[in-house]
Amino acid sequence: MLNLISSDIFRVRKGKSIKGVIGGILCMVLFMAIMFKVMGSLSFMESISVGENILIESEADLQDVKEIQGFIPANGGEFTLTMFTEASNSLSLFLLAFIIAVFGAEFSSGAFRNLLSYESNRAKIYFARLLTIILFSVIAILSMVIISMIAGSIIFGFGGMGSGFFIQLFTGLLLQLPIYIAFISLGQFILIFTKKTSSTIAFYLVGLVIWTLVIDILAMLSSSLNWLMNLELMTALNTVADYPSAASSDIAVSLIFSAALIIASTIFGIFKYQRTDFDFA
Amino acid sequence: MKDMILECKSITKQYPGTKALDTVNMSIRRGDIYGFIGENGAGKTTLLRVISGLITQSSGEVRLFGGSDERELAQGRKRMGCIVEGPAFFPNLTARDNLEYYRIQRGFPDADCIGKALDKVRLTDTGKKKYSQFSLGMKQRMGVALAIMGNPDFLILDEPINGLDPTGIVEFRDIIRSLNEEYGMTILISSHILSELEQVAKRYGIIHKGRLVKEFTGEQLEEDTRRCLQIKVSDAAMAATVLEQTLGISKYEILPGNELRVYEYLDNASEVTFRLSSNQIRVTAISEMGNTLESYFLAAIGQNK
Repeated sequence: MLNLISSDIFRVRKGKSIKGVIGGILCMVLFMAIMFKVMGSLSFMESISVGENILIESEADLQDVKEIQGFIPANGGEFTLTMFTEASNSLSLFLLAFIIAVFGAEFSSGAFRNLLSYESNRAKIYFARLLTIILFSVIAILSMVIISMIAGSIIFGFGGMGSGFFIQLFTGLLLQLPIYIAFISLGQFILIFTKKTSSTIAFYLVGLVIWTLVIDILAMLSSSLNWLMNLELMTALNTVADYPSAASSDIAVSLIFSAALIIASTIFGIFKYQRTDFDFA
Repeated sequence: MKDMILECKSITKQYPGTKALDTVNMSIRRGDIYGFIGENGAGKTTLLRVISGLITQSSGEVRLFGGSDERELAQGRKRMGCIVEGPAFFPNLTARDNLEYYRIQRGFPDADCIGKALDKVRLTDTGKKKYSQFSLGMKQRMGVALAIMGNPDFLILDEPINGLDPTGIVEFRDIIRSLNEEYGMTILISSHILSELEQVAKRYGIIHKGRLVKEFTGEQLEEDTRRCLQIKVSDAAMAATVLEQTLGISKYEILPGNELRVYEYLDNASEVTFRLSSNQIRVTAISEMGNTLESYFLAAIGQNK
């Protein structure tokens, strides 16, 4: 198992995917930071106008300006927490890159034959791959946090990184992890079925959109079905990251659903992997 | 039995609407170079996939190094090096990095095994060239390098000569011979052309439409494809004496019915006829006999014209 994980770490390190993901995260963080900065400048301009009674026409406008100002991070710590809650759902899409890099590349190159003809225990391979992808995902998430802390401190000023900040960050990460693993195990399961990277990307993304739509429609149909929103994992990532203010019941539903998804997709994935005839070129 | 490396017993692989393998029985002994011949689509790769564990047979049994249960097969496959359906590696990695990946994965402690494997296939000077930039011959050799890394006892190579130029084929034969003779590896090598394996294999199996139709040794092949002049004469014993004395022919056979098979002077049949006639031996028929490798193969699969 350790050999399988080590070899994949070696390969991913040698390849471009990890650099691509870290680069992608860096771009995303910088883009968000610049956006906040621009929004902050605009709302500042507007508040000057409000004071001079030039642009302000109603109480509602004043409310909007205040809302925008409240949303702009005051320092690096606040920016990191904002990124952590707001951008975590985008990160789930980056994880797909790891699934493709670790497992998918083997199918597209045909190199899976070299592994499967040597190692007969496919459950071990499947599990090792899952652990490898989780490991890289944790690295990606931590990279996002560290990049946000550095970029946030540079752009918004140092501060807001006391013990409360780290506790919220750590708790949020811990609560988010099962949801990320659910995304990963689902992606791996789809890959085992399709055996093609392009189909996996398509199924993964289309599945996410359809699932979100179905949940949203059901929740709209009846207010008693509002709890279903917690099964929408992209939203759940934001909810659990905002741990102190989110309802415990909502977090529990999201985590239970994630756990069920991990168990089901791993069991069925291993079952399918063990019984698949790899008779394609 | 102790020296049996591979035994396939009544292997059948059924796909919806087609039988890719039909009760195939095959055995390979230690030290063999087994040439596995068949047309495209005959079932060669399917059998190799079954042996290497990429697919499961519908019925029948595979025994590797004497073991046939799941655990024994798993252990047996770790003593095997194989390239099925051609070599496949990560295109953006160099030869050394690709092999390093598999060295770590397989837990080979000796990092030198990469250099040794590349050396055996004469692929040491590829430097930073990525696998995607390799020529077909280099890719094939790279496949063999992976297969032999860790010094396996049994090597399976699926159509390794495919697409190689004549120089590449000669080089490849040398590599195969040296792996067998110097490193004692037992080798199963498949091809769709009998002549490609003629100079390297010691035993052969011909598969056709999923059935193993013939198994034979290199000696049998040589015997069956040996060319000769078949001559019908008035007195075969006298004719043999005449040919020995006048032309120095020593390689011949006397057959019943006053027939003679001469394995020399194939390109000068008129001289043979002249000598016999001038010694009062009547020649009633003379013809060149013997199978070419192609006709031998076609006869084996029942398609001889």
